[in-house]
Amino acid sequence: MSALSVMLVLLLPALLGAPLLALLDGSRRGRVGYWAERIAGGWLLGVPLCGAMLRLFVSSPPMALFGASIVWLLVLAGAFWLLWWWRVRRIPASSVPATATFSGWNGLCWLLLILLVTHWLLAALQALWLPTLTWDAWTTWLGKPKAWSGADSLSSFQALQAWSAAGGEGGLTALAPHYPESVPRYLMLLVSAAGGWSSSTSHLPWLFLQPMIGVSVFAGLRRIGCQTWLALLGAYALLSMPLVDAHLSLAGYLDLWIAALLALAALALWRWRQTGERRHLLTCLLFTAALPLLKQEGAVWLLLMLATLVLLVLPSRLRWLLLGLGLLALVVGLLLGGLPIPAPGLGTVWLRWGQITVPGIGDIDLALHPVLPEVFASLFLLPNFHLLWWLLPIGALIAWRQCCFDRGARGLGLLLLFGLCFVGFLFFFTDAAAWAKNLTSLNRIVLQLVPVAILFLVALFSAAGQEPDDRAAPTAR
Amino acid sequence: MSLAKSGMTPDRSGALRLAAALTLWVLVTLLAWMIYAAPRWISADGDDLELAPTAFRVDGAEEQAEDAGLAVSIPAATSRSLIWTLGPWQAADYRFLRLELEGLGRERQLRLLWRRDGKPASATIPRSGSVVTLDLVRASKDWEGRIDDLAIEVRPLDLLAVEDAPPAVLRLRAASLLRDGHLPALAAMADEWAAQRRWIGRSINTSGLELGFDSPRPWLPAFLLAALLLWPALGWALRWRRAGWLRGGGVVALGLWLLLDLQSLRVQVARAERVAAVHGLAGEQGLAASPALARPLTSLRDELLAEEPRPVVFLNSEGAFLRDYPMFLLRPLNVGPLPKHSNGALPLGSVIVTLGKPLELRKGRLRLAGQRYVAEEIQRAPGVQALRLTKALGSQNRGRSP
Repeated sequence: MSALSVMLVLLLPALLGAPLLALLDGSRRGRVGYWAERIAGGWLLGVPLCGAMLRLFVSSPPMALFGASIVWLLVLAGAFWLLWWWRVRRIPASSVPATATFSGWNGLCWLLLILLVTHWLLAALQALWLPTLTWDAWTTWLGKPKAWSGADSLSSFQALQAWSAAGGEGGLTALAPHYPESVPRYLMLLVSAAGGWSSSTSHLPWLFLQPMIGVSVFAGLRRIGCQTWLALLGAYALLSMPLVDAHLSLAGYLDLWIAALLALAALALWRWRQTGERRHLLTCLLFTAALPLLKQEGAVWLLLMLATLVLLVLPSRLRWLLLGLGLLALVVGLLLGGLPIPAPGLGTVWLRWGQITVPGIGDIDLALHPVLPEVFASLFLLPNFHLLWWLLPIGALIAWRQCCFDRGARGLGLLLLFGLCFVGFLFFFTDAAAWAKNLTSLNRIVLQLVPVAILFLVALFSAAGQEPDDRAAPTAR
Repeated sequence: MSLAKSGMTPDRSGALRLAAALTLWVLVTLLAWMIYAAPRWISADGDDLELAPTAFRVDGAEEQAEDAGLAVSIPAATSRSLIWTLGPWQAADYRFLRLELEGLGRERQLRLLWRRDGKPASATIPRSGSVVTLDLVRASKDWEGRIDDLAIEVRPLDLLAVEDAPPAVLRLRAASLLRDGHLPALAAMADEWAAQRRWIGRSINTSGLELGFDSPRPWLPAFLLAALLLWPALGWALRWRRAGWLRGGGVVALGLWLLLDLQSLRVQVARAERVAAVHGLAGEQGLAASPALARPLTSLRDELLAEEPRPVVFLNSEGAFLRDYPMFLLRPLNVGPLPKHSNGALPLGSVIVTLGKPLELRKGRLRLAGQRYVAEEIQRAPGVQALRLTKALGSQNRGRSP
């Protein structure tokens, strides 16, 4: 029974997320590729969504969470499916969506597929057999469900020092009580379905992560119009990264989850830029909105995506005006003592001269930190990202024309530029430089941006192979 | 698109040009690698030093003399065995250590220990096969001065509890200290390459490899250089036009990526093999980040979870690892750190888990966080102590002037 329950919990995110994506897509029906993309993307979206829904069941005893919530969650999934079914009935049967197909399959595709499966098998074996070995998993992502599993309620956590000061009698405690709890709550549902805590069970979602990312990226690129081998190459380039291998083998970190949702948002952004259809913009926003449910830096990616979208939507004159106004606001704000920036999921971030105040983190002093050797080593010398950061500037240099004129590449390039500026600012100008110096958070934050970099390269390559007429956009700016 | 259209078609003399270009590329690449592998170009007029296996002594294992060398019988559940020999030697005279070893098994690892002018130093031995060449200069900055002695340390893999380590018979066939030279340099480089495995300690941040040499080889730029040399060689041989250069560059980049990925997969296979080997050996409690901590803490956790009402548990430790990992093990008990100072008494019945140096009980009394208590010890294992507070005796400062 518990094996079936565990399987149900593992499939639940797809049941919740797939109809939502299909609903947004608004297509009447599709072939295998269409549903593979919806199910994989829906699963990735469904995990944080499911975790967020589980907040409604805080009064349930943790180990009874599965029994208390599963019916309601299935009812919710059913409602999404019904809504989708009700909507597609009203769409003409002729509007068959563009869908991922396997035409143009060749020897390279087989080779890449075999390599991808090998990566997955090796990582899956380690994820199942190794104990939980990663730091943030101990303190937060797996630590919280483990604490709930021994407690009477699914109550929130308080900081260690406050708990200690209260003599250990103030409820549950954790090192990072303010971190988002969607994934820990989903893991708690899994543990409750399994009937007890085990490292292997709690690592299971990481086994699903790699194939779901692979299918989503492959199918997304196919729908955009990339050739089969190029779409598979994009998925392979992402999933063959040694750092991705490490994050799958040593289950327990959420950086790859952020990367996955950001990849799906970037694909939707590309598709929106290509077709100008609002449904893709909504899909992009949905994926981006789920990012803060995973980790705090998800709020930063949300902000950067919104900034990208705003700049892309605006006519070029307004764009420059907005940039000018933004700059002016920054200067005036700094002169007047501070500029408040609302950040969804974080609160109001205050920017002052030489200092940033982030809710939940506190004051961050700004000064230039000499971490260039470490950043260079991480991106170019260590076996973290294969050749990605070597190929990216070369690709951009060779295909600078596509970079300027292809709408998809331009959108992705802008997002990538914002992302790189954020990473640069974070590690060169804030105290986070210490995490670049010791090569810890630096690589993990960069990992979150890796899918955007890969999609940008694929966009350049894809655009370079097309005639100029093919690149004309039908409607959108 | 056809090859002819893409500008990549070789002409009639193409095959010859291609062969010449590839030969030149192989030679230049090999030369670059030889310079890179042994950059000091020291003349090889000195002698290598054979360390007779019979001159080695053994601690923590049973020594058996054999015709072909030395056999070391390591009993099950042995935490550490040493195979050592006395010097002295001058580190500057030797750059490589060559070992011929058999029978270690996948569940144990090797480390080289030595004393440099009386100070201890160590380096990981990159074990890829029965013959290993270690580049001592690259492995450790401490290979300098006078080397008093050398020892090979054998211990179970980090994830495996000592109690679960099976017996083994290790055979040392030969050992030698080698002077600088290209052949041992290439052998050391090959061993280093083949012995790379993901190291769990830092992999989540850096995909780190477990050798942890002081001067690791930058493999990625070496590969990149080889590819950069290959690209013009192919372009010249195949007489690429503009489109050909771009496509050819793409093919070379993809080929290089695939090669790097094959190496990455090999590293993953090596790690997975080790995990599989020790997973089968681990007892009911399985593998752990630190088995020495995990076993006593897990049994303590199970005992305390069975109590009603559950005690409040405080962890008394220093350092991030000795706080966060044990805290994860004890998480179902909602454990938190021991306050440095407490205005009131901690709840009676609370359990204080101390890692490292145990707290001192004097006639059953204890001073803790500015308060005095009567306490009883409920568990003691190496590095782990658990005390239960049974009575509060008031503030530590009572009776003293402010």
